[in-house]
Amino acid sequence: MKLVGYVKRNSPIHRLDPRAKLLMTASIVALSLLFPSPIHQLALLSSIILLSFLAKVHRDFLPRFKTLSGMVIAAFFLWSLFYRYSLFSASEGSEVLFSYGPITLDTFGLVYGLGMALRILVMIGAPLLLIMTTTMGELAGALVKLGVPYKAAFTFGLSVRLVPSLADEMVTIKEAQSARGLELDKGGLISRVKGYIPILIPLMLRAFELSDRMSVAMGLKGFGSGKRTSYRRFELERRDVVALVLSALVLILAVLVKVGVL
Amino acid sequence: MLAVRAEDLWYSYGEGWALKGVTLEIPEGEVAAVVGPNGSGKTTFAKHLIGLLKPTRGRVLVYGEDTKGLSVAELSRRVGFVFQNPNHQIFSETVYDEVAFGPRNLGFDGARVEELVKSSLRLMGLEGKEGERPYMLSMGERERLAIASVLAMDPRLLILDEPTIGQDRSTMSRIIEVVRRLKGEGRTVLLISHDIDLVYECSDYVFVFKEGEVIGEGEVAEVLSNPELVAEASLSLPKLVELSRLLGLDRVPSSVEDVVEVLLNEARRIREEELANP
Amino acid sequence: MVDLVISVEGLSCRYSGKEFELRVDGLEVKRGEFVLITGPSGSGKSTLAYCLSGLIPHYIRNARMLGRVSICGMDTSRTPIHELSKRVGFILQNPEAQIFGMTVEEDLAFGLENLGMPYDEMKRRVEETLNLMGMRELRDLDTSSLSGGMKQKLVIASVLIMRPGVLILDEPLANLDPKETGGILSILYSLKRVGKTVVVIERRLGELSPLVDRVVALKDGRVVADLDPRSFFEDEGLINELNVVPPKVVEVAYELRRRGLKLEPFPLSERELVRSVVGG
Repeated sequence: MKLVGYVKRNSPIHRLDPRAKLLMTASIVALSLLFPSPIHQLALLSSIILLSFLAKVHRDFLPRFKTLSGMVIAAFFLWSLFYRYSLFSASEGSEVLFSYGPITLDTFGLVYGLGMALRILVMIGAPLLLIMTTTMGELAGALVKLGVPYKAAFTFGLSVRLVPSLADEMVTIKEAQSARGLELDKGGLISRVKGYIPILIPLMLRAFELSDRMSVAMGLKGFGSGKRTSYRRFELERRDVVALVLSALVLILAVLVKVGVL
Repeated sequence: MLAVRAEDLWYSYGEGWALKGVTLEIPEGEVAAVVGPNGSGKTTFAKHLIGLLKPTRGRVLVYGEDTKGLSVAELSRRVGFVFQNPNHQIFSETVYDEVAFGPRNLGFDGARVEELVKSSLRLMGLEGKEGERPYMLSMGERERLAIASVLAMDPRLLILDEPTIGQDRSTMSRIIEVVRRLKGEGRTVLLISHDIDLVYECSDYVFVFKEGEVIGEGEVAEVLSNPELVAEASLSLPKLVELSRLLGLDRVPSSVEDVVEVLLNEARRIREEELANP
Repeated sequence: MVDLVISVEGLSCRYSGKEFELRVDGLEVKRGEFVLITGPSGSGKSTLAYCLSGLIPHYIRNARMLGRVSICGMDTSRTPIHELSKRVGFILQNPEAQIFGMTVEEDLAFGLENLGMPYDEMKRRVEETLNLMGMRELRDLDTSSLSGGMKQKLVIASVLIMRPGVLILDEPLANLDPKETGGILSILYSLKRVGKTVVVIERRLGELSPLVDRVVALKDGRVVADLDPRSFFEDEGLINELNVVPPKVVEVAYELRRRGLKLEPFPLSERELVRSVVGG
């Protein structure tokens, strides 16, 4: 039962150094922010989809877009029709297609809305692809190599590992209390919130107990007692360097284009 | 009247089948047990009886009604489910409030709630502790508290999921007592356990689960003294059965007293032989 | 000269704000012994285990400890915990709380990484442990997807990889089904065979009794018995006092005794029972 998680495959993307993948993801996100036009977003989106095929995770990855479709369509409508109320003023030379009260639809809005909608897919898709092709351990390790202090990266990785356990506990607690007649989807807002108390209290207590024991167990295994070595080996191979350099290059070029130098 | 009837029940959590074509019946008034290794589908099956899970295929009838159309709250009026770990349900300030939670949810009036809480606490040996804080209780007491909380809902069918995890002797004997008492009142009990000796001692009828299927069922003494079936389910023979095999008995003993009688007779017989032939 | 691995002198341990006090004096464990610590809940079993492993006083802040606990000659209050961890491996009650790696292999290496061990040595030990524990195919598995029994096995492996001479396990058989229990028991049997000193806190007595050299029984924070298994189970009054469930064989033996049958020696297994009664 995985919501979002690592999908194990033997693909060139999976084999890439996690630092390279992190940078690639960052580049894609940055490019998406720099270039709002729907054509650029579509180009980025196509690259992401292509990468997902290369990573052999397309069967798990693409259905996620279906889940996002509701949000994306809503975004399209909102942005197209109401963009004037945001920081923009209406662009000159844009043809009004339709107007009704406060709602105005013009060609600029259509294009803008499309761009924003596609951007959502890119901004969610890129990190999602990263998570699907890189284990949390690799990510934490990459962060450490990039200079994030070990304890922070470790805590991050640990909390990610605990999410499924705590989620399972919450499900069990919910079931146990439902079996005692607790109804969570009845009544007004206040009674519904109150209804969660018999679930949150045991959950919090378990979480405290767990974290308490974990800190003790970590100490027993010598955590924090001194210099640490790493079992995980990180060596950049040629393909990693290529990916890294390409991403960096594309990013720099994009910034230069945006700024107007090129 | 049948307390439970499962008809070709199939259940999947998403990938693969957790239950495969389970068909069984539990008549009212019976103490039934479900045994099998962890992951064999015992708890998955039991959750269907209170509506926490609904069949992917097939159907489950509880007291004649199809669970598909009933909510968990509705089924909790008739079915009491005691979960394995009491720490998953304890949240109240006092023992009284903890036990009263269930009956209050069912909408019973104050007087009835009080009556049910008091009698449940007494049954589980917790009388006098009404005002105590649940988290101050020992593990064994918490298990008893969890059972009391469900008993206070006055269920017709009580499901106990691995009730003897704490291995507290006083708690175990209370549980056995409560099971016998409920049976005496005409209620039905379903015991999910891999404590094979407890199952042997308490239950009338047993269903053996393995990988989502029922691979055997029948009267407890018969099923649990079948070494092939027991081995297939990765279980061990009940100790009383092991003893009887060593003694070469053809009748399977049903209790400690039973085995003791046989052993005493054997000892007596041998002594008489020795006296006759010095 | 007898090798004393654990020695407890004048130990008194209290938790702030609570009345309970653990008092143990003159408890010794020799090298290679397999000791079972048992007793009702709240008797101080876990507290004693925490004192033996150094968790008290190093990690449990609200516990006040007096007296001296030595592990392999080292005073636990004066020795830093990472030094103690190399001699004593402690396995807590909840396996969930002791798994730190994302995968099985990573988790095994965790403790070694903390000790600053060089990569090659770590790699060697990880491979060795994976083989010894029969866990080779599991190396890449996601730790959050493991079953309860597998988690327990992993925790034991991740402690054994640090090569401690003494192992303390707090209720290792809790929540395990018969097959999983068998798996952990065979690990315990192997440990005994290779001469490791093992201290197990448990309330499930039946499965462990063949392994155990000595039973130390606690009640209300005091040691009420320190006996070999046979003498321990023979004392029905003691068993009742401890609120533990004796093995079925022992229950049968008690009843036979009540009916006037003499049982010598007091049986601990089904075969012994039959032999004591029927003879030969």
